[in-house]
Amino acid sequence: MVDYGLGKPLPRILVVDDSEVERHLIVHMVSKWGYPVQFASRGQEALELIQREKIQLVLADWQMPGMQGTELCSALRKLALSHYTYMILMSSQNDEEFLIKALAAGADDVLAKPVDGNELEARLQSAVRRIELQAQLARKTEELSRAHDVIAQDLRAVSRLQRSFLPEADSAITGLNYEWLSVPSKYVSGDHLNVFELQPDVYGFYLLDVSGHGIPAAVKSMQLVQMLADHSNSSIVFEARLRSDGQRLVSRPRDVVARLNVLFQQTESDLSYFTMIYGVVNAATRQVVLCQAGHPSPLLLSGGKPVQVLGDGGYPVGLFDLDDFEDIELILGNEDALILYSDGVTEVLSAQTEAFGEERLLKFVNQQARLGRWADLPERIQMTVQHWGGPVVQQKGFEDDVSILMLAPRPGLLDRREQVDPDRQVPELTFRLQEMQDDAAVQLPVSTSKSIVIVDDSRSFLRIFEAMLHSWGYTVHAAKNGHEALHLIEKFQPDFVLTDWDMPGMTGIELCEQVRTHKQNAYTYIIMITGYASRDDLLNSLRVGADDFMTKPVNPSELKVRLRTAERIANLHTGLERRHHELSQLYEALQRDMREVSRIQRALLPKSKPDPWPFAVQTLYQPLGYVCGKQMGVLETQPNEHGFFMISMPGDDTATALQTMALARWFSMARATRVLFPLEETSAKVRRYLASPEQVLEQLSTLSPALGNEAPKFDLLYGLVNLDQGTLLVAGIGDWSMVMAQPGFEPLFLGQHGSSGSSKREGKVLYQGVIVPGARLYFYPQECASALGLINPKVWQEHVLLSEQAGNVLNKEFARLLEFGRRDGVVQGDMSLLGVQWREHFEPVRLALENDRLSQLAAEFTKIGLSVQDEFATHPAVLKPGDFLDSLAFSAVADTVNIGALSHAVRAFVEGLAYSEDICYNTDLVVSEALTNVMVHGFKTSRPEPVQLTVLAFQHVVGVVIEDKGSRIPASVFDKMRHEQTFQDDLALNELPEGGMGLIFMRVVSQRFVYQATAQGNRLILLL
Amino acid sequence: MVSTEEMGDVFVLRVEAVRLDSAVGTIVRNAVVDKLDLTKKFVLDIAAVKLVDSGGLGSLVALLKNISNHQGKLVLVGMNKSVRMMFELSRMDRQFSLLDDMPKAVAFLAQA
Repeated sequence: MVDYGLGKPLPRILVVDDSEVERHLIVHMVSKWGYPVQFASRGQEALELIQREKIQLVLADWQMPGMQGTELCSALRKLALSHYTYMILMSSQNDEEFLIKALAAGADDVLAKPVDGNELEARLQSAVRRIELQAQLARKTEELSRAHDVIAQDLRAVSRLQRSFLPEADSAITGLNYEWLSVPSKYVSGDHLNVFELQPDVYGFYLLDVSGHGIPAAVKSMQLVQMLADHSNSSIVFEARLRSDGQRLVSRPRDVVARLNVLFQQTESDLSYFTMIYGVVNAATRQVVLCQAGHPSPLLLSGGKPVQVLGDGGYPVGLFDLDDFEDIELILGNEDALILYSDGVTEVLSAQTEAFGEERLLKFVNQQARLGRWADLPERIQMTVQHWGGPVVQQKGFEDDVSILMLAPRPGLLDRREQVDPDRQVPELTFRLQEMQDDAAVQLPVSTSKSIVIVDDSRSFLRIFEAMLHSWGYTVHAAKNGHEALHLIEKFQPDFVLTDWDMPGMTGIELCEQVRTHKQNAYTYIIMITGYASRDDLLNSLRVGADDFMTKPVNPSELKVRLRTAERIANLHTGLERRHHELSQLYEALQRDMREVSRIQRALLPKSKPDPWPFAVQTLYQPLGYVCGKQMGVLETQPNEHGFFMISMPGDDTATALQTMALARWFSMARATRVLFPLEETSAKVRRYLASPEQVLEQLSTLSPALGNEAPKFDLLYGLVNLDQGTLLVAGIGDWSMVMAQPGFEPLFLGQHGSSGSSKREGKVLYQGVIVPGARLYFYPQECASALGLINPKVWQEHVLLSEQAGNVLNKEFARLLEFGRRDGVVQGDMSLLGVQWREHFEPVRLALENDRLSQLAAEFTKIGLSVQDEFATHPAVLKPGDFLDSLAFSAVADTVNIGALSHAVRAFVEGLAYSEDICYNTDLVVSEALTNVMVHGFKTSRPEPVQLTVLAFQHVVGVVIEDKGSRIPASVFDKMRHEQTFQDDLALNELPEGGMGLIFMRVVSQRFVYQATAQGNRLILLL
Repeated sequence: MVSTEEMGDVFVLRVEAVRLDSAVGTIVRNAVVDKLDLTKKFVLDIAAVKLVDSGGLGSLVALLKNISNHQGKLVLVGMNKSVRMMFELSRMDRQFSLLDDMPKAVAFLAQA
């Protein structure tokens, strides 16, 4: 077998010859070289075989009864088969006429009879090489085209989604009519416009333009659409307070824009911003208030008068953290109309790269207005700028999104449909995407003058051939040797190279090798001219990449014909390459967009936080493709409290991702937080609770444009964790898995675990209770379980959860989770998981007090008892502790679990010494309050140091000392306490400073209250 | 930690913890919020509670206000002697309805 360097099995050859002897001879020859072979004696039979067996290489005799070789060729070419069939025609009549006829009929190569074995072998190899090259390119193109189609389809879905949020084509509003158009520059748009009801007769309208184009801009535009469509309690287009008559108060446009400006401030990961006009119109009074934010000025069209330009600018939204937006107010007359447009209209460039500009737009609008053509003005404007843009816009669409919104009172200008212009025809702009694809398919390379580089060491040969080729219409560059040729090839990028085989310095083979290793832009077709064609030489020349060869002396007619074949093959090749190139450029652009979406999606994820003070966060997010319908967020609802949520929407396309991103962004917005975590209205202190799934479902359907009045099509998990108390509230709509691992407890598996999920999307509370310090919480959509490798609780227990409890266990467990997930290797689905650890676990330590320390403390207590003055009051009499009985001491971190454990131990200790019930209760209370105070004030965010708690029991009193290294209780808190002599009847307790009520409790129940704050730490001493 | 029960139109919450602190208070409040539109009568059974700390008291006050604002009534039942002493000391006994047992609580709410 011969190695062609392509590593492919040899194609099957069909030998067609009516002479049995010749047929056998050839069949024998080719099968000797390893080709599978079939044969036919007639043209018709061959044709059927080629179709049925998908034969790619045919060796046919010219002269056959019935159907001649050339006829077979023509018939084959007419069939338009899915595969290309390479034809080699053989003839004993080896003259120019045969050559021309054969190639005209569509043969790829010709061979003289009687067949020379060496030449046949070489020509077959040349054929195999060409077939394989074409097949490779076709395969690559096919793959690319498929990948491209997937993205294109995905983007069409995004486009449909966007379009579904545009207003109805015809205004259904009494008193207000509109016309609009929105043409995306690339399949999806960063522009958006809408007209929507706020209250009876009051309508909001906007036209916005997000910087950039394509998907990244569409992502933000969707988020904005989502926010402007929300008319629930969290809406940004209404004021939070109600009007005196209980009606909602429509926000002033400048306030709406200012809110958006705060919500969409540029970040390091997202530099985009947007311009917009947001306005409110009253359809009854025709009063319009609008705010212009970095957007082109709106035009006011007043019947008969020249167009007026409203407003003089304003900051774009999201660039500067300034509250500097202004409203423009006007009343629309009967004959007035308002036109809003994006800068895509005026920035259309002509062929001479001149922008259309505002001046031309005004002139055009004035001219149309004079002619009474109002009703379809937006289309007319589009038509005009499209015309301005010339063939570039016609073929490739607009460079920027083009949007126009025209508003007019009804009845008014837009209702005058009588002046219909029959010539009006808006040229349809199709998807630019689609067009490029079709373009590539139909556009065959134009045949222009081809160029040739000829190489020969013989000057006379060069001169003769140069003149001859020139007379045939070729552009010829002659080279005397290989080096010169290489230089010329690089410089002129010729279509063909005609090279001598045997040259001093660089041989034809070496030249060929060099040309092929230097990647050229286009394919260069190389014909080798050999003096003596030995089998090895021929095969060698083909191996290094020659496309064809001829033997000396060169027959001019044969050369002419071979060059024409070369042209055909080169054209075919260039066509395929060009299509491949265009497709790959388009595909790369799409991929860049998709990567950008993926980046934006990731940027919305909660930041991982390894330090568990007050809580650590880890996320695992790995879509199978670029994006998926999973999203999550962690947000601070107040300083000691965090909310979190996860969204899971079926689908992994960009449209789905866009919707989840818009939802995530919306859920993270302070106003929207109330939907999941509403505020208790009556409390002076901010207190939130977890909305029930029913409440959430009800609210969701009214706030999302994606939902309309339908039930949400996504699963939602949401929870609230109080970081001081360690309370956790979690609810889920749909199938969610939750794992809770706590020090000292068996892990809890809540929600759905294992394979079966409920088919109905319903909401339920997953957990409502306390968590202990060191608790780790994991949440994920149940459908992600298998992709994560967490198919059941056993996997969790054996491979992820650690028995180790101290430190940041979350990080270690996460590492194990990732490692376990990778063990399987193959990822079969989207992965999305949120992990949280609340604080760290610390064991309290019982201390044995030394005698020195004991007597020192006893003396201190006695001294404090004898004093009648303490932190808060002057006492009527001294307090004598009496004899020392016993002591109890601990070193422990003040956290919820330890506070409980320590106060329990202290209660048992004092009860064991038979004190009165009052003293027992008060001691317990005081220990618990004092430690809580340390927890609340002392260690907000840093890892806490242990507190030392010492209790000394005397005959008449109990003394308690708490020593901590946290931050001291602020002096202002004590000041406030001093003025509060006792509890008030009016339940004003909530207005006390943080921890204030605890101090009041301690003050009320203890007989002496001493607080010492020094640089070394704080001491709280209480006598009971 | 907190169990709930519906006795006719009375919503009963039973604190199954020795200490009523802000954490327990949060859970109680969250359990009540869902029912505010459905019923007006609430009983919080704190017979098991041995100690109410300041955070717990703050939560109870918030709970009381929230229920009152929805024209509802809250009764605390089974208060331990020491806790009651604390309530009296802080005048909370004037704000909350404190009753000894469930039958008395139900009768009280039926009158209201």
